[in-house]
Amino acid sequence: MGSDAKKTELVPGTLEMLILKTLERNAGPMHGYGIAHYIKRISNDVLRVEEGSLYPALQRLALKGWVKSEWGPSENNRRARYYKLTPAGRKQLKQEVADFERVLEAILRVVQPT
Amino acid sequence: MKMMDKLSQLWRRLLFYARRDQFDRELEEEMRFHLEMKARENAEAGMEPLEARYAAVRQFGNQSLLREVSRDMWGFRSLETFFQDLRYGVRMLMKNPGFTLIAVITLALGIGANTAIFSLTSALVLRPFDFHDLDRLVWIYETAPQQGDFPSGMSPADFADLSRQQKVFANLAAFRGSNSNLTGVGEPERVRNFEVTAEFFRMLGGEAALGRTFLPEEEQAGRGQVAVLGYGLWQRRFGADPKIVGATISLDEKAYTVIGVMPERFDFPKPVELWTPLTLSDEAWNERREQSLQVMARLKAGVELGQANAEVETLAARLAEQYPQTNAGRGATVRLLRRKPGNEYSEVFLSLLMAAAGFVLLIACVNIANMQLARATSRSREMAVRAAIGAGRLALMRQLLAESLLLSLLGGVCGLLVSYWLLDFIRGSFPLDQVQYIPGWESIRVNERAMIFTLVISLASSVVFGLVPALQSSNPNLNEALKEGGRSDGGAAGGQRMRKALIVAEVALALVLMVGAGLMVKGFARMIEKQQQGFDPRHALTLRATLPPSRYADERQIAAFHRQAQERLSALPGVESASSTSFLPGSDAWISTEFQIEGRPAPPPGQERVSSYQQVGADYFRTVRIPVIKGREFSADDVEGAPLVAMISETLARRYFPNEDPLGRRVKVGAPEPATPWYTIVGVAGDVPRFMIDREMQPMLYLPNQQLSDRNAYFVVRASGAPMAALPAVRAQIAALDDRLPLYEIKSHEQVIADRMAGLRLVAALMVMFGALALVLASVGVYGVMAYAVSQRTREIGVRVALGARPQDVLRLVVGQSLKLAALGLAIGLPVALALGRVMAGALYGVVALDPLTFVGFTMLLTGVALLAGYLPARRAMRVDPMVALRFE
Repeated sequence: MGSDAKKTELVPGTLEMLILKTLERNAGPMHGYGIAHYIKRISNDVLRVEEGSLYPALQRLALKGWVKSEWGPSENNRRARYYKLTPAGRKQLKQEVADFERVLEAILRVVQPT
Repeated sequence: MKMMDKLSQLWRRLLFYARRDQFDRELEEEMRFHLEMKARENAEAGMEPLEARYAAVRQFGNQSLLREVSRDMWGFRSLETFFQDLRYGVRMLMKNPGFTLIAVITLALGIGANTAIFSLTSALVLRPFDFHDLDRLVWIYETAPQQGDFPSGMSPADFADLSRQQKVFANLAAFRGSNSNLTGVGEPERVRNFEVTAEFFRMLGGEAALGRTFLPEEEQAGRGQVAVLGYGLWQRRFGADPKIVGATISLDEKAYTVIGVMPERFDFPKPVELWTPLTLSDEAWNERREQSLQVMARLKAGVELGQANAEVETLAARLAEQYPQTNAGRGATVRLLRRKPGNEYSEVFLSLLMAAAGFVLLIACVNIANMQLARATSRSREMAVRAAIGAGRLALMRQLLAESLLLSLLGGVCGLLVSYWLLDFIRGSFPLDQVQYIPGWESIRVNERAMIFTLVISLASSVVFGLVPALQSSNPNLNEALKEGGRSDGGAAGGQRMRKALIVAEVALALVLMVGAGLMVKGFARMIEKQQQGFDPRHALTLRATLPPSRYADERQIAAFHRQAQERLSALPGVESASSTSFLPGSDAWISTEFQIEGRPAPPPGQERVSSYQQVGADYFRTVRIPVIKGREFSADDVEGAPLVAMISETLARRYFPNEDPLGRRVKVGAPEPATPWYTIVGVAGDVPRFMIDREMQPMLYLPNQQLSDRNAYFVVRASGAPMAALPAVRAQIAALDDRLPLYEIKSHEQVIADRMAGLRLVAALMVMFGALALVLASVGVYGVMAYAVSQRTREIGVRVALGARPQDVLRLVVGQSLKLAALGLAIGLPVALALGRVMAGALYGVVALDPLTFVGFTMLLTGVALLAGYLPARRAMRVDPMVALRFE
């Protein structure tokens, strides 16, 4: 990660949720770079996904059966690994988002001035 | 759901592990792709191509760390270590072939015994029938005080009422066995026929392989001349004729149309050969006294056994109130189909055998744990080196457990072979004509469930014999063990203590098992002996014939046949005497009835006098060699028209005529009211055993078959020579009377009893086998530990001898230690064995809880083993030259 960029740490435990959500929003399969790029773009450069955590996270999701991967040609005609959401992943995402919103709401209630 | 997730995760993990090289390559390619994309992004942002590439790599971070993390994610590391442990274990086991061989054989015997008994239990007790939803199928019995409250059949009228009033069963079916003579094609033959209601097949889910089963309307009298063939009969008798449906066969000389053939696996109730519809007249359906029907049912979905039981009890109580004359005291009970009354003994035997096999395996595990501990001592340096170069305790333990795992899996595989052999032995030890009555016998084999069971006990064994040594030796004392020339006995004190404790446990286990086996075998011997008391089965040929009602409709015809047959058989050369009877002593089958004594009021309903009874021919007592104690036995003059006579057994005389002479008194069988004739007692015969499980002799009533005939009879022929040699002549004589009459169950009387005892003998043989195995394993175990302990003390013994100890002092030292261990083991084992004896005496006939010979004998035997196990190594140690011993290290 470039030291010049303004660095924002991801809230711990949210990376997987972000990946799943990204895959859900884009309907079609995406490769790792695409996922990282997308998260960065959509969050207006606030959230940056480190490659060092992105790929292990993708492996973890594959192990748990929440994403599936297959190789396919990329936009620059190279072979790339594309990830796709599975039904189990979709369910998991719903669960995680719900949990996250609940926690976020709670946090906001604590930090916001009354 | 959770479980499935875990399983599919494990599956993906293994799949990936198998393709881990591809995984690495793909991850590599994915990262390369990512870097390229990143570099392009940087270039588009205006960087020089080379700079863009460097920046991408920089931003990417530590690539090999990422690789490691990804691989860990899939748990490759632990899998890799696991396989490495196993590889290493294989190498260690191959380096010690002697140890490996002994351990595997020991384990194979223990595991094999367990797998075999499990397979037996699974086939005979857990799943004896191949019906879907087996545990919803039940028997419904009536219990009658006349039958000693033993579960018995149901009367047709009670069955009809029960069917109408019950709300807990989805189906109800009744049947009764009625063997018939099958004639027409080839030799006349006695076939096992069961008359069943139409619901019978539907309830059991039995579909015909050819044709169909019965329709409800075929239960009506006059419409029931149809038959469904069993697979065996169809094959054997009709050459598997595919066009058999529609053909006519002759049963008891009446024509029946074959409407179907059942598939091979449908053989219920054993030993069925064909089924006909149960057709009862309206009058017969009103019969309430005779409990002639067997009743089965399928529980409605959601109905529990207890609920059904409560319902039939209530209904039975209502019937008892409505019909006190017949039903007073009569109850009803529901049992699982697979738990037929009378089968309880199989369950008791099998659980005892299972326990014995479990003990054998435990003893085997203790032996292997001991060997492992001994090996661990010699491997302490290896362990220390591994620990010194950085293996944690967990890693050492994992390594040792992997070795144990390998051993136990090898033992399990060989154990399967042992169990195949043992099951072959078990199958071969049962006579065929007994097997045909045993549900589930054909399915005795090592099935998938037995395989899983074997795997589970193998793994459990590896924990039992592997954990203690692993804990012990994974904690090496580095300083001691690594010192060059460090004493090998120094750090092993803990190991020695543990090994001694194991020996104590082993002796205790062996004692309990041996005493249990001994008590059981002696109990069986008593039971078998009892079953042959009071008569003499030697030199007697027995065979059975049942006269078909079509040709022997009249009682007189039956009596005449029996009389003529007896005359003809008695006259044969080489035959001392011959007679006939409805039941054979020692055959474990009898009928009981209530009976009346003239001049005494009938007891109130529910407390009737009960006796077994049978009809016998003239000369019966002389032929079977039952002593006549008082009066006379039946003669050729006791025929129809002559005064009616009866004989009673000693027990009946004692119980019902305690202080008077029974001779001249008159009795009759059956209910009090009908005007049946009285029979005058003319003789008292010695007692003969009734059922194997009876704890005491039971009353018995004999009537002459010339005055009260019985179409079903055994002929007994006492030969002066070998009984079977008389068979051709006997056959010829009977054929001369009736050449269409099939003879069956042809055996010597001794064989009848032996076949009946086959189950007991098998259980006894297995028990002896397990007990002997326990003794051998325990002896080897104790000897091994003592020999090892002595070899460890060679130096100490040398010092003692050098200081002037005499050989007998050394002997006392070593033997004393061995005896002390054995004594401790016996002290723990004896109370357990005593408790076991008491439990067994309560459950099994013939077992005496406090059998001094068994207890003292086996205690002495094990003491002797300990003595020898101490003496042999001690003698070796005494011979050692003290100078050699002192230089030992």
